[in-house]
Amino acid sequence: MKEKFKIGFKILTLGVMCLLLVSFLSGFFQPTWLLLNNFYTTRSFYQEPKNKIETLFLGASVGAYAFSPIDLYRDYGICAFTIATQEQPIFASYYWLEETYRLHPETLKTVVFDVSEFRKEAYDSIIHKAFDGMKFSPVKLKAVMDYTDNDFSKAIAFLLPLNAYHSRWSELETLDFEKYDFKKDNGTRGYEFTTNTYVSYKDSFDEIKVLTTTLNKYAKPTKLKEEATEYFDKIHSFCKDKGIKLVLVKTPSNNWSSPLHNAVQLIADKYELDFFDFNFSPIIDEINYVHPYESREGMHTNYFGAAKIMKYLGEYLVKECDATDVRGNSDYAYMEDQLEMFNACKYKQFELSQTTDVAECMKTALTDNNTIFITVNDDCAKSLTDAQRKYFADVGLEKLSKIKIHDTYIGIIDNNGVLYEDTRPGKEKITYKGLMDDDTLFELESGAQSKKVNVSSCKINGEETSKNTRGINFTIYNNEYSEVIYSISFDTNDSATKDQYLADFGALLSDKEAINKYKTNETFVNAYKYKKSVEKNNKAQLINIIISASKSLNFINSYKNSNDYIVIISSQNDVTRILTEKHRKALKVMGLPKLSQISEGEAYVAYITGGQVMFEEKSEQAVSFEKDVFKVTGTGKADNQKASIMVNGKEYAKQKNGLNIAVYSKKENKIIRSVAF
Amino acid sequence: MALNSVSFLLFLAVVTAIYYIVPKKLQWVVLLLASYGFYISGGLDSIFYILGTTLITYVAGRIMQNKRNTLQKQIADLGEKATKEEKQQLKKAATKKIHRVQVITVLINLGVLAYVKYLNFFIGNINNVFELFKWDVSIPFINMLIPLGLSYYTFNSIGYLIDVGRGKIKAEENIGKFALFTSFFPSIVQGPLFRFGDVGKQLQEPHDFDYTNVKFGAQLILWGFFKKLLIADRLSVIPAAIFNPSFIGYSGSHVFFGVLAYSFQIYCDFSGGVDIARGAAQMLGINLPLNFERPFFATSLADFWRRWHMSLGAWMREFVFYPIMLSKPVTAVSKHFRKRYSAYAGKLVPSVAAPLVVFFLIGIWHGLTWQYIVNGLYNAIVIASSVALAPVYSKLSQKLHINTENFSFKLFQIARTFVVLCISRTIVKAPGIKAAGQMLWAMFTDFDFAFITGVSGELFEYGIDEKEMFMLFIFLLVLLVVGILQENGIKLRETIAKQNIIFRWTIYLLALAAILIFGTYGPEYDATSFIYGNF
Repeated sequence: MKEKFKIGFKILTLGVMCLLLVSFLSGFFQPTWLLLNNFYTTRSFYQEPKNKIETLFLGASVGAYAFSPIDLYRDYGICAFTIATQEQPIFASYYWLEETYRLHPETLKTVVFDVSEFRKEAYDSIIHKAFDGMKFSPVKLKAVMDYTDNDFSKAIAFLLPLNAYHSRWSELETLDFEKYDFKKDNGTRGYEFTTNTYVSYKDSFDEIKVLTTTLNKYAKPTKLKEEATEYFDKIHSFCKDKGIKLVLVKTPSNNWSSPLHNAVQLIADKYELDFFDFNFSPIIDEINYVHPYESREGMHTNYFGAAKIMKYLGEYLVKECDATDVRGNSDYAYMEDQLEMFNACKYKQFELSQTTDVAECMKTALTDNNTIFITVNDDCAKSLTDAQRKYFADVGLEKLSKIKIHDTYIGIIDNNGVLYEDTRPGKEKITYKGLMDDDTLFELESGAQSKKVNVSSCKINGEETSKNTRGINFTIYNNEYSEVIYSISFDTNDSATKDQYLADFGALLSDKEAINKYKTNETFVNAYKYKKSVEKNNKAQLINIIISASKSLNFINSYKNSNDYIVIISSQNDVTRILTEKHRKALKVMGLPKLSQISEGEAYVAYITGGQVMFEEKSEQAVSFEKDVFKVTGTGKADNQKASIMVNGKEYAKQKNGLNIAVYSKKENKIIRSVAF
Repeated sequence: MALNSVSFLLFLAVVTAIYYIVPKKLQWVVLLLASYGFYISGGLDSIFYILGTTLITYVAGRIMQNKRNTLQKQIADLGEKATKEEKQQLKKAATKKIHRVQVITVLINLGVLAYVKYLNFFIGNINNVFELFKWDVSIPFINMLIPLGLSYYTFNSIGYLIDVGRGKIKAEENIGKFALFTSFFPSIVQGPLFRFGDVGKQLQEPHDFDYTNVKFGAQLILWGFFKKLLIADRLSVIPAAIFNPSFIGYSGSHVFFGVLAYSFQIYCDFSGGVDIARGAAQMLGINLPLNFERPFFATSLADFWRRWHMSLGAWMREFVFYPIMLSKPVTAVSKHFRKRYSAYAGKLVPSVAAPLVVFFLIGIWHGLTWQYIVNGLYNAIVIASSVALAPVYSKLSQKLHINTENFSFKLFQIARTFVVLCISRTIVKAPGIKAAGQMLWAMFTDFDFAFITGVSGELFEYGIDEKEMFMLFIFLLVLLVVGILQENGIKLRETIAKQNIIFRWTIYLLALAAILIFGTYGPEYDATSFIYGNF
């Protein structure tokens, strides 16, 4: 018996050790996917005390870049969390909702759902990204078995991440070894912070895609994926059962359209849900969203855009969803810490990104516990102003304040004063390296004499952080959170002042005085130019809206802009019966003013080519024109005649009441279409 | 359910637990249910094949046994009254009937095997003939699923029929127990082949829980996983890249690199799978026969075949080789040669005839393609000629004063055998018989040292980068060291068992970690099935 017990114990112990090994390796090899915050998000989510989250944001990467819960806490005291992963399928959103409810059943009140993934179905890699961070729980098991149709051999790949990721052994990075460092929580509560702009993402401003902010309600709704709608139905039922308010949101994006909006609107109408589409008027105008500067790359919003969306949603949550203000509540003290961290590491970036002057930037950085590593590239002295030099002298950077053209320079300063300064004239490059109090290794290099040695380098733990462009380069390191929070450079060789990003320029764009005031600010001018392009797009959209409602205009429109065709129009009897007010408006925009004003029973003829109306006439009597091989007659009510479109002596008009239209192909030298409306 | 899957390990754990919990008389029932459960997990499509073979073989066995029992009863009843001639006449008549049943059933079993595996080969060749005569007709190929383990359970069944026919074993009375013999789950995928008198009986016997068996079995499984996942599947990309139908302009060193990789791949794949099967059986207290004995240490091709796929070799020896050697025509011809020419010539006849037939059969066992047939004949010719020329070699080495007993000569023999094997592997692996010829020609005429030594860097362009190649080298080194130790009679599992617990468990966990980290498995890889599962 004793022997049997001993053997049993041995097998059990070895079994447990094997499981621990598998579990450890699974965690170790699981990618962090820091780009979309996935690792921090889920870790932070599970660190949240139970029954705290009141508003849950769900969605794809666009949600991760738009929904900033910490902003809601700062401004409205709302305890929210964002679970948004790359291309998060609605399938995954549903199970994350269940998981959140499992942990916060008493507080979860509102779900804000990003609708961008209605067009897609789940597939392996995005399911991994969505679920790998979810802890093993009945919900995870249910989700995985559901995804794999209860096929255990497939499910194992999702339940044991090692199965999927062990092959990363040859590409492990420092981060994989650091991820167990719990201090590394970024405090964003699932939000992906960035201050990058669409403008800087593109080579030229002309490459920016102009949004059309007028919704075409007549556009045929896109067909959504069955799996997506099925799981959205589940989300809706779940929320309904648990008394959770469900709100739909679409963030501004190049990748969205009226047909998609209309498809989602049908769902919103069916379930009587609020749907806020930030791509269209009036919401996009209300928040004063400026796509080139408030989007990261056209698809996702940056922090400037996100802040505007959160302001709008915050007010909605307070007014319509009875959101609770938990500020000052000791149970939520951890959120104060997160806010502090967010302010120091993220919001500070936002502030720094808005500075246009090197001294102002340094001043902003030094208001917190930051260290600034200063290096110079090429020349930094030519256009340094006296005020800037004075500021450097005031903070103790004596050598920088006296720097001469093509001097090299390295400096380190924190909010307690200067830590190091060195400068050399001539061709010599200078380097300096050392350890910070938290054992972080820094290696600085500066060369400023000729093209061969022009370099500005700041490596933190081996990783290059310097912008390395002409002038003064800063790497700003937060000492409290041991993190590089920002890198920036100022071309102090060039006297041109850096254009300022105006946080409220969405509103300023409609302000005549502001337009005059900022006419030299390139950023503002670009934004204004963009606004005009949006207006142009909207005008075209207006035509589309009308065309959508009218087949006849659609027909004309499809040929009229081509030089290859001539569109010939003639009337018979009365044409006003088919013309609504919208049609008349559209006809005016299309350059057919006489048709837009035609009265009952009047006769009409016109021909259009290459987008130009070459001839247009209306009359109470029959009206004709002849040109080259054409002979066209429009008739009215009084004439009791048939419309005629003769080409080379042959009749092509359908000769029906209303508009008779024929399309002549110049290339084929014949009539290719003839219709009547 | 693949043997190298987590599902199989969980399945085995559950079966093992139930096996030792249930009353001993029900243990075989657990194995039978588990075996059919395992078989059905691969799909229900081919279950009828194995059921058919089992039923026909069982019934034939019973008929043969009844005839033998009747004969014995008749002889016993006659007692002293019958003359020797009468008894022999009775025996002859019964043996004839037994033989008839045996032949019919063996032919049925082989017929099923041939129909399923070889029909398309014949169709293809008939179509080639049509094409040769420019007849505009072709017989469509039949898309047929090859039942799991068809060759293995067919050969086991044939072995059983012959053994029963010869009176070596008694036919099994219980159809359930016989069904377990044909379907035993660890060995159904890729063997090893076994005999009813040995493993068949073990399967029916009750087994007490034996910690050592379970431990050694688990270790063997771990070793099998090591070979399969760390070496075989990692290497598989190289032969797949080099021996593909679009091969053009590869130098001989490319081919050598490909065949080198393939040689290790196929060994680790097949022997790894058999190790898993043998380990799983050992955990259940059943010892399956050894199938490999470090074949890369073979000093001749004949020696290689004694070390490679040993259970098939044993089967062929028992049921093909010796019967041919001792068959009337062969002995008659041998006698004629001995009388007419010399004793040497007489001896040569069976030594040439038997390998020719055996290797032809081994060739077509792998698949009825011209490449396998040519390869079978190549092996037969090499072995027969080595037997025929053995006296010449012996005289030559004596005259040249070559010491054939020292290490360097053994090393030369091992290298020579490896080259001979590489030729054999190239014949089989090349994309067609013509391509095989071109590749072999290139291997001996166009050798690019810059490629094979890695100087050109091209070595890492076949799906294995430098890091993976380095790890592969380490794993092959482990394989070599283990091989050398075993070749020197060191029993590794027993040696490890003598060490203290910390050392032992560290080795187990390190081996497990190596497999988990470096193993070729998971969604990034195709679930590489065992090569020999296809035969």
